[in-house]
Amino acid sequence: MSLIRWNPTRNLRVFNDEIDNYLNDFWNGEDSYLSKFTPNVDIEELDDEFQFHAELPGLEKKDVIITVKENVLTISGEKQSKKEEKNKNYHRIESSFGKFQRSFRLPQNVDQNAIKAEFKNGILDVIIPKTETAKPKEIEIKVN
Amino acid sequence: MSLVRWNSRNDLANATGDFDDLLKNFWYSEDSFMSKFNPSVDIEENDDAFHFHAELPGLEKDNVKISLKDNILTIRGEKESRKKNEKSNFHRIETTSGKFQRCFKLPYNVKQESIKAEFKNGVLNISIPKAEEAKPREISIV
Repeated sequence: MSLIRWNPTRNLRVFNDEIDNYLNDFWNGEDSYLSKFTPNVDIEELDDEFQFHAELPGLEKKDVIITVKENVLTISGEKQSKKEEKNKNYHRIESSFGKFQRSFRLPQNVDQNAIKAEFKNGILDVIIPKTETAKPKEIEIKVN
Repeated sequence: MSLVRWNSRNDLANATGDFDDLLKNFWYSEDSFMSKFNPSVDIEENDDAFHFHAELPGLEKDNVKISLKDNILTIRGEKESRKKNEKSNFHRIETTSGKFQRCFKLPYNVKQESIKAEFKNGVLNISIPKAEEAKPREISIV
């Protein structure tokens, strides 16, 4: 083993390299979560129902599976890669693709048997009605 | 002003905070590009045409304008926020909204009159046929 002159700023330079690697992996790594398709989901609560809105551009209803199990709603599917079509020359691929799955715990007060879903313009809307007891009620109280 | 004892590591300690701020601003600030809607666009070229595919979930053809000027294709429009419904209570908003504009310079002349665009399942597909002189051709050796 050869002797190396101690340099007090060496650790800083190592740190600099690590940050570079971290950012490079984050943006460009194959496993980077930015390069995988994960749908954005908005969750909206109204007086009598919950509405989930998932952005799934380019997908159709046959590409998506919605399940409810043990009070957990799961939206899963696959967005097909365009790269697989051969004889095509791509200048730019910004969209992401691949298998995806998102799960959400539902509140206790919903009617799981009445869940409805609809696909329109690349947005999946899942409507989850609340049970009667969960809806806000107005009670009139008489003052004597 | 009180005297502060000089510490050779102060700058390093501050750097930690600066880095935190950088990341926080990047992800969460209102002006962060991550919080604005910016459609992903794929561009494909074959012998006869260019095909642009822009992901515009939830938009319809009335929300988007496409123009071509000086060989620059511009796609612009606005994606409305769901928040405008005041009766709703949002548990989670992951989607982004707002005005957007994307411009692309086309490398060759195109047939302006035969550009076609269609909207399907939240994806805008634009087909731009190349002008005859821009198509690849074989040159025979005499």
